[in-house]
Amino acid sequence: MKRIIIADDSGTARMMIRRCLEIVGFNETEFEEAKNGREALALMKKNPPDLLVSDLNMPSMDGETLLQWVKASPKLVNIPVLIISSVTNSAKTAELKKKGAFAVIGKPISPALLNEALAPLLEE
Amino acid sequence: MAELQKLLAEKLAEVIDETLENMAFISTEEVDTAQPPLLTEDMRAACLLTTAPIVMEIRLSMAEDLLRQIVETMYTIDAEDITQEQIVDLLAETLNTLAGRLMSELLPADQAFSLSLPETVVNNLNAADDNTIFATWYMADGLPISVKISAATPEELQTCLNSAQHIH
Repeated sequence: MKRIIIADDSGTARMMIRRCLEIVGFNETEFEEAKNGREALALMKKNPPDLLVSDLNMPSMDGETLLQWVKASPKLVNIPVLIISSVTNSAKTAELKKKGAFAVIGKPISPALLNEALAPLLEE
Repeated sequence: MAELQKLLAEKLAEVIDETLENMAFISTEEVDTAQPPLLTEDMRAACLLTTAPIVMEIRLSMAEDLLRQIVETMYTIDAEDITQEQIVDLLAETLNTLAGRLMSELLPADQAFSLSLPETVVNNLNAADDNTIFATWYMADGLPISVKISAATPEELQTCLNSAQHIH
């Protein structure tokens, strides 16, 4: 069974992301939720997931800092990180991909957008 | 200023419709701002700041009944099980999403921008605000939504959009 951590300070966003992930094929998956980057990092260190989905704009530790921590950790570096945020455009996407993000999606999300972004992972 | 208002009206109508359609399969209709709806419903409000490249405040107010209706659909729960936390969170997430989409539409693709975290505020739709540069109403399922944009220096916004070649 795959394991996915969803980090977003909004419960509404976490629920929407989870629903969309289930629709695109992650239905036999264990989901864990975090309200900020710090909580997500603690969950990841305890038990590394198959995928991290993170917002950018979060209190305590933002998504960009979380991405940097993940990519700097030998234990977590290979975990794909999908960024889903309202603060995206092509320049931000390029910057985040350079920092190691697997894919970047702007809000509002849809199953179609997630499917396109996660196609390489779904084929595995 | 008229061109700025026309641009904001056009882009905002697009992004609010797209946001609510994606989040809750709800369509919105713009209301003639000369005849804003008579408010009989309780409204909930949230605001956030765009902090770069320009400072603006975007305030979203939505009828509480509309928020309840969306929460009920999204979470597939009974009306009596809806919590205030879910209502406030939905409003904040809607504002966060539409503010991000609006900035993406207004600014060039290579222009970085940042938003503050949304905050719920006391609804004060009738308060006079000298810094308001744009205010409009929409209806969704017969219930009102209001968006108000304020800027300390509207000229700065105009200059920013001029450089994005939206307004000449």
